[in-house]
Amino acid sequence: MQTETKARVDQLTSPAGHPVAVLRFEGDIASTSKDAVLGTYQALPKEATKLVLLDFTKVDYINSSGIALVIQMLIEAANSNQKVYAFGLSAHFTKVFTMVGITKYAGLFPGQSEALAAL
Amino acid sequence: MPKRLIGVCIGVRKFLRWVLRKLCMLFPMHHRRTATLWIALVYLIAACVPQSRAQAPAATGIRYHFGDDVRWADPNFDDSAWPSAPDGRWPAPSSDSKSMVWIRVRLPVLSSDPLAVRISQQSSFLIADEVFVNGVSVGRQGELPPRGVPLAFARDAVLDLPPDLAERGTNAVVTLRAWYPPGVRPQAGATAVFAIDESRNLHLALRADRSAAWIKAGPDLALNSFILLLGIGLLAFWRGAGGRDLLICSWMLIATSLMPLWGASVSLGLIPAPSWAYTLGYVGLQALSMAATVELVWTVHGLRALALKRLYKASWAICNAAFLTLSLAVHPSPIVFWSQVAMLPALTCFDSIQLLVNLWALIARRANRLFAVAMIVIPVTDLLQNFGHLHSVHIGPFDETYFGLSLFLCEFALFAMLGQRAWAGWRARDELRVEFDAAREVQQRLVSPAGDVPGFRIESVYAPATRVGGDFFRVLPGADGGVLVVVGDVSGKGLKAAMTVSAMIGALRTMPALPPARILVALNRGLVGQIQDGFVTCCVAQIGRDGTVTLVNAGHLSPYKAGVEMSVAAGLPLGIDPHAEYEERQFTLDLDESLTFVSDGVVEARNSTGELFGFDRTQAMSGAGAEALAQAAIDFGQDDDITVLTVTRRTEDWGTEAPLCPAASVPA
Repeated sequence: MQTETKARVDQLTSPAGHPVAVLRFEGDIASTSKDAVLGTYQALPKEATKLVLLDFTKVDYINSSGIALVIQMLIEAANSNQKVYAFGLSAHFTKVFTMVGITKYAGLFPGQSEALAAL
Repeated sequence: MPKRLIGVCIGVRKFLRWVLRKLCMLFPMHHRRTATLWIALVYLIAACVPQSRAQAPAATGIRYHFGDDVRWADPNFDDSAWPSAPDGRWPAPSSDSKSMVWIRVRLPVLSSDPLAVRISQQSSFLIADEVFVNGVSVGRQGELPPRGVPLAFARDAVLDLPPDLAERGTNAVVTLRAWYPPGVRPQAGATAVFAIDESRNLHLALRADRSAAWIKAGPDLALNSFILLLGIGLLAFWRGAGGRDLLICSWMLIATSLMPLWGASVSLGLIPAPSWAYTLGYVGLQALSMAATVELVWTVHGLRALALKRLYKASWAICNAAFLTLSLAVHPSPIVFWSQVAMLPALTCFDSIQLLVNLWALIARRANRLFAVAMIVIPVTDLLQNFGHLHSVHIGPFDETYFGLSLFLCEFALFAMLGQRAWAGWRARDELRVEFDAAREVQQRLVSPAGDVPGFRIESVYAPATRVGGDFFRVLPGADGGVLVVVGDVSGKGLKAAMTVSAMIGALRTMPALPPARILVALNRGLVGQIQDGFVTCCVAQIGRDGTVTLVNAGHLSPYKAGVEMSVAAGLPLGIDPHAEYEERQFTLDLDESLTFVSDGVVEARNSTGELFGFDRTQAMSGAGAEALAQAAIDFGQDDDITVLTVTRRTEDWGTEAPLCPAASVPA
């Protein structure tokens, strides 16, 4: 039932002209998604990447282990002084992310344009 | 049955090892594996030495001619210009002669009527023929061109002659009109034994020879039946033990043993299959056997070399396609020509890849050395056979090819190795299953199902997704007549989560008198650094005797009161941030009102289309009771541990002071 997690990185520019790394996830996010989630994030150059967007538009399901991975990533990002916004979450997972306190580390937005504008 | 079979095979393997060890003592060396390789080498060299064997005397005076002309059946036809076959062997006809050859021989008639002619053809190739005696057609096998339907095997036949066709004391002219399909012409030529005698004598001789053929094929049939049984046993064992290598090996053993059994069944006349059915069956089994070999080598050695595997598969495909084309072709064509050209290189490529990969594994995959040795012998003997350097071993009346013998030894070794490995794995898993059952029992004892507390009715359902779960809850009566409710979820499932649950329950026993926020802070500090790559969500509610609820949450789902989701301050799950703080919220639970706690396994239950049970359904059913809500989520599609706990404030005569002993808790 669980589908493999895929991740890719796109480079955008914020309205203020700063480079933005967009991590686009696809499939289910679970304990087996460590390489796709943390691996992809950790491959970003820390010094050059200060603005990060997380795209969950094509994510179908995130279980508790998957949420743990996202939180780990957000804590690493906070420790590296990176600003992270997430978008594309369904109403269900927006609520779950809010409950587990992810909003303390990352703003949640409905779409890419809103997230990009807020950076 | 499979257990007993594997036990027997392990015993036989031990015996062979003992024999091998004794053999090794003959060598001036102590290293057993080196000695094994030496023995394998000596075996292969012995296989290349031809063994002399008395052959049946061939008929003399045989003359042959390529082409097709029915006048050549005439006894008065002058065949003196035809080439003679001094050793009784005539070459295969070329496609220029329509793949037809005529053979004439004169046989003295020493008996009286009723007479018969017997022709025993020493060929295992596809053939159709017609026999004439003194110019009269006395029988045919298969159908000659233009239709061209060959028999799968040239049969040994006795054909009764009409009365007065041949007189005693004269010479009868026996003529064989034979057709060999263009794809499978016998390159080394063909031969036959011709005889004319009393019909009864020849039929008796034929019956005796057929019995001898059964005896001769006996060892081969027995060995392959044994391997077939091993394959079926391994397949049955795989159903219980699992393992891709076991499954592939069982299919390889089944297909490889069925091939010669199928061939023997048709050639001995046990199954009257037409040539096309024989060919399809044989090529299908051969393709399955070779494909299983490819997969087995790649699986056991854990290889990723995709380009090499594609080449391996390509040679497999070409080899089998060419073999099928050549076996089914009736007329010469470019496809037949190219199939003949491609067949041997493809087979050589297939064997070479298998040989090289296993030679590499001998060095790089120490744990698979014995498997590699077994898999090396097969392509080496096949290559030797294909290039004509491999011979048969003759023991008494029995014939066995070295290739068949090598295949049997290797297949047996493969079965014993993989069977023993799977058996050890199965036993290890069985022990683990026992450990899991023990862990589940401990978890059940540690946290028993919640029961009512004076002033509160408690209802709980816990359905773990695996044997042991990562959800937990605890209901502790307070000294003031209230109750402390703790519901949580360890991220992940299985034994690791269950061990964390046990630690949580143990820690909670020491802190029932603390305010809810301090309970979470204490639990959080205890968990930080202890849960690798995970966390624990937890919701704590202290419900006073007067219905005042103090609620604090660490990433868990909010509880529902009378069908309404309660607003709680978001908090990080436990075990992530050592400095995390948790904010308490207060509200009142009226008499007969219920507070329903759920774990994420409820809202994230998924059906077959991936749809979630969701918050809306959960909220709508939150007042239906723990049993109904949990069952609805399970029926929808359980994906994770499911916990539902309801606490209902009751109007009850409090009586004496409430008991201080723990009244309730978790998972069943």
